[in-house]
This record gives sequence, C-alpha cells and structure tokens, in this order.
Amino acid sequence: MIQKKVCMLGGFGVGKTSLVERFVYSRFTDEYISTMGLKIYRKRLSNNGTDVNMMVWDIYGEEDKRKVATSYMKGASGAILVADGTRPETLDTTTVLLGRLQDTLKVEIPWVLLINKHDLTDQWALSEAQLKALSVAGRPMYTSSAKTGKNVETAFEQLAQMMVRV
Amino acid sequence: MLSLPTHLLQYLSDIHLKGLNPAWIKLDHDGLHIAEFYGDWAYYCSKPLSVGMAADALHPVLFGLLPMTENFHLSQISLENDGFFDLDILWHKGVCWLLFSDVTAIMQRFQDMQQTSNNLHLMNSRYKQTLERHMGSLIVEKVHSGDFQLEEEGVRQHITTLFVDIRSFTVFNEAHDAQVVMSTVNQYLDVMLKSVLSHAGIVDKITGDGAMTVFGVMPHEQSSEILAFEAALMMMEHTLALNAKRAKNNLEQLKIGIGIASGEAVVGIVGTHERRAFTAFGRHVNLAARLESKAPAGFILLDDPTKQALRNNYDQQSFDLTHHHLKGIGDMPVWQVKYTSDLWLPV
Ligand SMILES: Nc1nc2c(ncn2[C@@H]2O[C@H](COP(=O)(O)OP(=O)(O)OP(=O)(O)O)[C@@H](O)[C@H]2O)c(=O)[nH]1
Ligand SMILES: [Mg+2]
Repeated sequence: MIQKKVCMLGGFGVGKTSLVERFVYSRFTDEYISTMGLKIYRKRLSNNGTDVNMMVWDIYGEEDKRKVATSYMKGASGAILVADGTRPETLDTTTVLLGRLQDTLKVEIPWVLLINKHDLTDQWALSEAQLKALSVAGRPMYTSSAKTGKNVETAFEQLAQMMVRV
Repeated sequence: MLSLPTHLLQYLSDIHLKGLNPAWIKLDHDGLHIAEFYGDWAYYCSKPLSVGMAADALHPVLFGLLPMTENFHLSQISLENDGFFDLDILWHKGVCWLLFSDVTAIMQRFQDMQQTSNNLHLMNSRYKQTLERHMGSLIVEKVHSGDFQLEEEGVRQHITTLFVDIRSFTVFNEAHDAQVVMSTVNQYLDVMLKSVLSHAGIVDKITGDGAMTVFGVMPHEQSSEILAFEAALMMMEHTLALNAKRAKNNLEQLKIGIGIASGEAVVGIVGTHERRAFTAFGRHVNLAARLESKAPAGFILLDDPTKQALRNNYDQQSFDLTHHHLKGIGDMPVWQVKYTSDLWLPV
C-alpha cells in the first residue's frame, strides 16, 4: 500500500479543516474553531486498483503574524491549496504558500487549488473572467464547497491520481 | 552552561520540565528503529513501545521524516486525547534522538488569542465587503440617476480625506470574550458610519480598527473641509457618549485619533462589474493617513489647507499649531484640536 502525505495550505478561515472533515467524515459545521498547530487525518483511497493511504496534514492558517513554518511541509507528496472565494486576498496567500512549499522541498510536487465557499453566492467576490484567468495553463483548480461537498472528493481524488503517477 | 546552584536548577526543572512531560527515544544507527526509550509514552501513543520497533509507527507525524541527520522541530501536533505535543529530532554525535513534550497547557492559552484575532480579521473583511458594496452601488446609483458625474477613468476633484483609528485597543493582548469584542467593534463602526454618512461622506476603506473616508465627492452645499471636520467632531462626541455607557459596564474606554487633509485627487470607480468600488488617489491622501497615525487619543490633526478652509466657521483659539516630521513627507505645520465635551467651535 502506498502512503502519501498531503498538506492543506491556505490563509486562516478559508475552510481547510472543513474540507478535510467533509472529505474524511462527510460532515460540516458552521462553527469556526481555528486550528492550532497540526492535526493529521487518514483516508484510504482506491485509484485504478492501487490503494493509497492518504495522510492529510491539516495545518493552522497563514496569518501575517503567524506564518506557516516550513517544517510542516517536509516530506509532503502533495498539497491542497485553499483560498476563500469571498475574500480574494486569500488567493495571494496561496501563491505565497506555494512558493514557500517549492522552496522548502526543492522539487515540484502535485497540488490542487480550491477556491472554497462557492455556496456563498451573494458574498462571492470573483468573476468568471478572474476564475478563467486562474485556471489557465492546465493549473488544477476547482471552485469548491465544504458545506455542500461540491468538488471536495474530486479534488482529493485528482491529487491522489497525480501523486501516484509521479 | 548556566551557572546555577543545583537546588535552583532543580526548582526550575520541577516547574518547567515536569509540565512538559518529556519522553525520549534513542534510535539505532540506521536512524529508523528504537534502541532505547524513556518517559511516559503511554500518554503520547496507544501502542506499547519496544526496542527494535520501527519508530515511525509511533505517530503518523513521523512518516517520511526518518532517517533524519539534522536537528528538526515541529510544534503543536494534535494527539488523539485532545492534547498537543512538540516533536524535536536531535542529531547528536551520529545518533538520532526523538523528544516528545506535552504543550497542551501552553496551547490552551494561545487558542483564545488566535481565535479572537482570526474572528476579528474575518469580521473586518466582511464589514469591508458589505460597505464597499453598499457604497459602490450607492455611487453607481447616483451616477445613473444623474445626481452627479463620475467617470469610470476617474476625475480630478478637490476633496478632503479623513482617517480614523482606535487607539490602545488592547483586544489582541487580552483574552477578550469574542462576543464582547464583536459588540465593541459593532458599536464603534456604527458611530463612525453615522458620522460619515450624515455629512455626505464616503467610506473608502476599512483598515484594521480604522477607516479611510472622503468628503466632497457627493454634491453638497458645504465645503469638503467643513463636512469632514464636522464628521470628526461628531465621531469624537459619539465616542464620548459610548464611553460613558461602557464605563457603567466596566468596559475598556475606546480612544480614537483622527487625521484630515485636503487637496486634489483622482476619484473614480474601479473594479469589475460584480465588484465595483470607489477609490480616491492623491498626495494628500497619504498625508491624512500620516496625520492620523500621529494623532494622540482624542485629538484631530489637520493639514494647513484644511485648517485655512475652516477659518471663518470656527473659533481659531481651539486650533494649536505644531510642527511634525512625517515619514515620507517631511516637516510641515500641523494643526491640532483636542476634543472635549465642552469644546464650542463654530463661530
Ligand atoms: N458557507 C460555507 N462556509 C464554509 C465553507 N468552508 C468553511 N466554511 C466556514 O468557514 C469557517 C472557517 O472554516 P475552517 O474550516 O475552520 O477554516 P480553516 O481554513 O481550517 O481555518 P484555520 O484553521 O483558522 O486556518 C467556518 O465557520 C466554516 O463553517 C464552505 O464551503 N461554505
Ligand atoms: Mg483549520
């Protein structure tokens, strides 16, 4: 069985924990409990007959005064970058974190970008054109919702596929 | 090392180390298997330890990390039992050591702070969004109804910019109840907004505990300087009233500082169709921000053009001339007004 370490990376409050909880336990809560440090979840996935044991590292969210330490990224085989579609500034945070991840690991690892909270249509702050611009050059990107489950499994499954292929 | 007498060292170790409940493992020369171990391992992992066992079976956090030939630290790892530990991997004379320490108690203290600070940030950005949207659509509406002209590419206009900010808001230092913080910020924003809107002002940005507002864009018979200054006085007055109420409930006093400057600016609507926001660009905008950052609690700081425009409407005795060095701007005369409830300004 293949074991893979996946890091959840993004600004605070974008929905990293909610996405993992949705993916692993199929549950969701509106209450916000900010993640301290690190919590590791496990989920077994089957990819074309190959079993992948995913260890998902749910890490605290990046904040100006509390940056995500590079030691959390060591040994990762993949990453889910998460932004909050109602707060466009959180997209910049994912760019910063992706840069830090690549500097730390010194190799390219597969990643998927999720623009979360897509169910909040009235607060959604990105236009179709902006989303199109983001998904150019085959960057794996989805709009997602931990609340409705939209694209959550798809994203983790795509990442698993990319990691197995490497 | 520290030249501490044994009994003091013992004392420090008792109060600090014991709480950390340290447990260690010395690894084999392959850097993968347990050679020796010591400590309360039952607290950190459900499996019993034994010599020769693979160390990465102890906790998923170790997966992919071993063998390690340098020092490594990872903090605040969550345990099944709701606790947290720090992991240290130490490379010492060709041997690898693992050290686990319990940091649950420390973490509990931090949790409140992180939660409050994150909640505040989220709330701020929600307010900001609602406001921008509200102001944006308000202006777009006015433009459409022909109330006033605002070109998409921006127009040059004489405006007055006012920055306001809460001084000594210690919410980040004290473990405030999130509910209390929310209601405080709500009350404060309410005061600010009412003062701005009732003087034909526009809230341009909400920044941290403050705001950038502009006057003179919406048509009004009063000058932009008078509108801004009146709004500032109203903010001060309402803050005093709010504080009187807060004092009764033993709550911290809110103290605000205000900076005002006037000049030419390019104003316009920027952004996509979905998100149109109003903005102003101009030299005096930076100046107003600098003045606000220099304003002591309860003071309004004005640049000279603003003060001159108020000449015929207010008692000149209330304005004190000071000189300030402003970062990125230089030395210049600055007028300051200390607000008190019995201040009677208009002449
Ligand atoms: N409507 C909606 N709310 C969401 C969604 N995802 C998360 N939330 C809410 O957003 C808040 C933050 O979610 P978390 O999952 O705790 O965010 P996080 O990124 O783990 O936050 P940190 O651990 O502080 O970095 C919570 O109140 C969630 O209920 C979503 O897809 N839709
Ligand atoms: Mg979280």
